[in-house]
Amino acid sequence: MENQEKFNKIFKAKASAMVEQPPAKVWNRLDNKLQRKNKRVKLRRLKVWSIAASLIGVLGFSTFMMQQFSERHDYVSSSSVLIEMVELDVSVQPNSQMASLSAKNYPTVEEGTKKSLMTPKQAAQKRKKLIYNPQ
Amino acid sequence: MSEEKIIQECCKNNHKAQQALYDIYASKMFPVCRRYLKNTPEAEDALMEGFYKVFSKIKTFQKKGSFEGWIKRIIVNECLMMLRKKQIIDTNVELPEYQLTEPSSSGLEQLMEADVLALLDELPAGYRTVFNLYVVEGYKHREIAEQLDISINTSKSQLILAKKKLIKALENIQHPRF
Repeated sequence: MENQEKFNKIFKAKASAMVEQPPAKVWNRLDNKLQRKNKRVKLRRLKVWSIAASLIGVLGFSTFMMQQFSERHDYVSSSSVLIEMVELDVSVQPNSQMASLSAKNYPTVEEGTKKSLMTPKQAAQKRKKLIYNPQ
Repeated sequence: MSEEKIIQECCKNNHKAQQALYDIYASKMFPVCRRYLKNTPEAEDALMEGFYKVFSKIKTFQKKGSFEGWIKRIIVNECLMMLRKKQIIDTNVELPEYQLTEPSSSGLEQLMEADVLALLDELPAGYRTVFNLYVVEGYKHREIAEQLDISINTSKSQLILAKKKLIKALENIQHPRF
C-alpha cells in the first residue's frame, strides 16, 4: 500500500513537472479564431445599435408627425368655426336688419368682431331665429 | 505585467494580454493534452480549443482557486470531450478487483519526464485517461465515473490494469530483454 502511494506520488510529480512548448501554429490558429470572434461580436453590436438607432428615429419622426398633425387639426377646426361665424354675420345682417339700419347705427368693425366671438351653437340659434322671424 | 493585470486585460479582449497569458501557460498545458491524447495534432487541437474557451469564459473566473488550476480543468475537460467524441474510451472493461502487485518505485525515481510520457503513450486510451484523472489530477473514482459516464467498478478496473501495464513497462526498462 505504501509503495502504491509512493508510486502515485512520484508519477504525479513527474507528470506535473513536464514542460513542452507547443508549435507556433497553435497560437496562430487560436489568434485567427479569436479575431474572427471579435469581428462577429463587433458586427453583432453594430447590428443591435443600428436597430436601436432606427427605432429611435422612427419613434422620433412619428412623434413629430403626430404633433404636427394635432397642431394643424386644432388650427383647421378653430378656423372653420371662425369662417362659419363670419359667413353667418354676412348673411344675417342684410336679411334681418337692413331695413332698420341706417348708415349711422351700422355696426362698426369692433362690434362686428365682437359678434364673431359667439359659439357655433349661438350662431345657429340666431340664424334659426332670423330665418323664421315673421317680421 | 502581473497575472491579475493580464486577466483584467484579457477580460477586455486585449490581444497582447491574451498572447502573454498563452505564452505563460501553453508550455504547461501542452503536456497535459499530450498525456490524454496520444496523437500530437489532436493534442494541439485540444490545446487551441481549450485556450479559446479560457479566453471566452475568463470573465467567469471567480478568483477562488488558482488561475492555473482553472485553466487546467478547462484543458482536461476539452481533452475528455475529444476522447468522448472519438469514442476511444472503452467503457466495457470490467474486471473483478484484485490485489495489485506492489510496484517498485526505485526505477520510477530515475525516470525522466519524457519517459513518463512515453510510458503513458503505451497505455490504451481508456487506461490512460483513468490513470491520468486518478493519479495525476487527483479525482476520486466516483468523479471519474461521472466524467466519463462509466461505472465506478470500470474506473477501478481500468486503473488497476493501467498500473499493471506501467509496472510491466517499468520492469522492461529496468531489466531489458535482449
